[in-house]
Amino acid sequence: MPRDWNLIAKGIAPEIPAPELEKVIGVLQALETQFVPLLRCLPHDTEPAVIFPPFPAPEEPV
Amino acid sequence: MNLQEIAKALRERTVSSAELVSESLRRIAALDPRLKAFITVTAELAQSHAQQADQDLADGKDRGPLHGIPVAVKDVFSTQGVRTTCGSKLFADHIPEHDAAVIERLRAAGAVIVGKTNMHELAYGVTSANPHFGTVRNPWDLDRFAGGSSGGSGSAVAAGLVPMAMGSDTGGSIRIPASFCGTVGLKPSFGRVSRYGVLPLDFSLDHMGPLTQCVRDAALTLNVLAGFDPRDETSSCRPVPPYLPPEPVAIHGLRIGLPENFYFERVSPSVAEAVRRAARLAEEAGAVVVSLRVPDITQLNTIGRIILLSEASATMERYLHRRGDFGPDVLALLDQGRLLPATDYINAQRVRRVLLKEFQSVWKQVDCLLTPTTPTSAPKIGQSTINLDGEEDVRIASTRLVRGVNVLGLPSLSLPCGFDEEGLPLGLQIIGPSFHEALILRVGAALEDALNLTQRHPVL
Repeated sequence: MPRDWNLIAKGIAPEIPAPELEKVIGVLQALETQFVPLLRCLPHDTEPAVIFPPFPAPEEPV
Repeated sequence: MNLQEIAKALRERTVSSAELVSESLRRIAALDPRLKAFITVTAELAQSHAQQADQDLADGKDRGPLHGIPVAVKDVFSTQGVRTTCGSKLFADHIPEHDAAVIERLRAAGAVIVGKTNMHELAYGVTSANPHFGTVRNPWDLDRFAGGSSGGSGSAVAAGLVPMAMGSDTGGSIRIPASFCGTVGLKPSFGRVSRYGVLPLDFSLDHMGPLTQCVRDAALTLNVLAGFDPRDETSSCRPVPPYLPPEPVAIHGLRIGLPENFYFERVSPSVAEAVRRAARLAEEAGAVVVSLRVPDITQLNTIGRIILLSEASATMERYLHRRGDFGPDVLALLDQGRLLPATDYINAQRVRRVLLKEFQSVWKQVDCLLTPTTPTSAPKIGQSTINLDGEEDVRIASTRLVRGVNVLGLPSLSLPCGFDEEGLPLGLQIIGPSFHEALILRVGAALEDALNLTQRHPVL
């Protein structure tokens, strides 16, 4: 179910003026549409990459 | 002259550091009122350091590859005793007590810093239309954006104000101005260059690197910058190899990947043709050009935006009660980040782990990737959308081909690969496996030699 961004904004940042909030919500709705499908196939035990060690590089190319 | 030529001239005493710095300051005084590439010019300090550099050389004290050479740094790097604004009204009077690690390394290698370059406010955007310090102009067409967020550095190098300027890159902020201004821009691997002393925009996406006139200058500068720094917890202790490619540069047998998906979609025909021409030149030089499909870059961009929105808003939350001190575009991004739930941020980092693993398969097929840097040449100042099979926000379009590399932490080099019908520079991007900067610089140098574009400069 899509999020109610207006309600979230009311709780977290009520000082955002209405015209600005409308634009902010437009962007977040579009981002939500792109993001939510990515989570459907995410394995349950996948850990976050918050600690971000770069993966070992392969052998040096010729 | 490039950095190596300047260094040679200094040691042969055909030019002095004082003369180089004076010429740099003269050009800044003459051109910067139009370009707005600098926030602060440290003329007196630079002249004093130049005199010391000349004296040191005369006394036989050679401090390294940048000895006596004038350079500039984006105003995101802390400079002891010199204000560091981050392009923001919040830090307009901030005078750091310590140098950033990058500044320490530049000074240790003998560089003379002539000033702090203008940028997109808080390094959070691609236009460098800074509401507090002016809009940075593109030297190739003053009515066009220089790109961002390191726009002042791109403009200053392209206009010949300095041969090298430092930038930072969170979602393309070195490579976008490099592409728009016709310079080289290098974003090293995550962990390669210390971020100590840089105001963070995004803890897991920020990278530091140079903008230069040619690829070899970027290589030379990276050897000055790279190395372990215990003050940056993400700093790598891997050894630092020589980055300057051995001459003559050889790329025979290297497998250069040309993506079949994503990177050539919604790209202007002139950009696509220029990059494909570079691929043909690589093939003529003996490289093997391989067509391949790469993992879903749209997914990378989506999670990159969520991570950036969340981390940047977390960093700046303490200042958000001062709404009037932010430009409208940056404030909108910070508001977006505040509203995102913590679960989205964590899940974006989980997807990131999956995509990091997926991308490893690319390096089993090819040694590096060749792509466009930006889908178009520099947009006009004030332009808010780009039309390539539909309207697209300038910020989203300009970051589309570069943002994913930050999510993966991979090294990436942008260099000029041609000009469009309006005479504006176009950029290509070379992406390599983590810590394979030497490889992408070698390929970049070979392509730069084959393309032969380095003698073309903007007329100002």
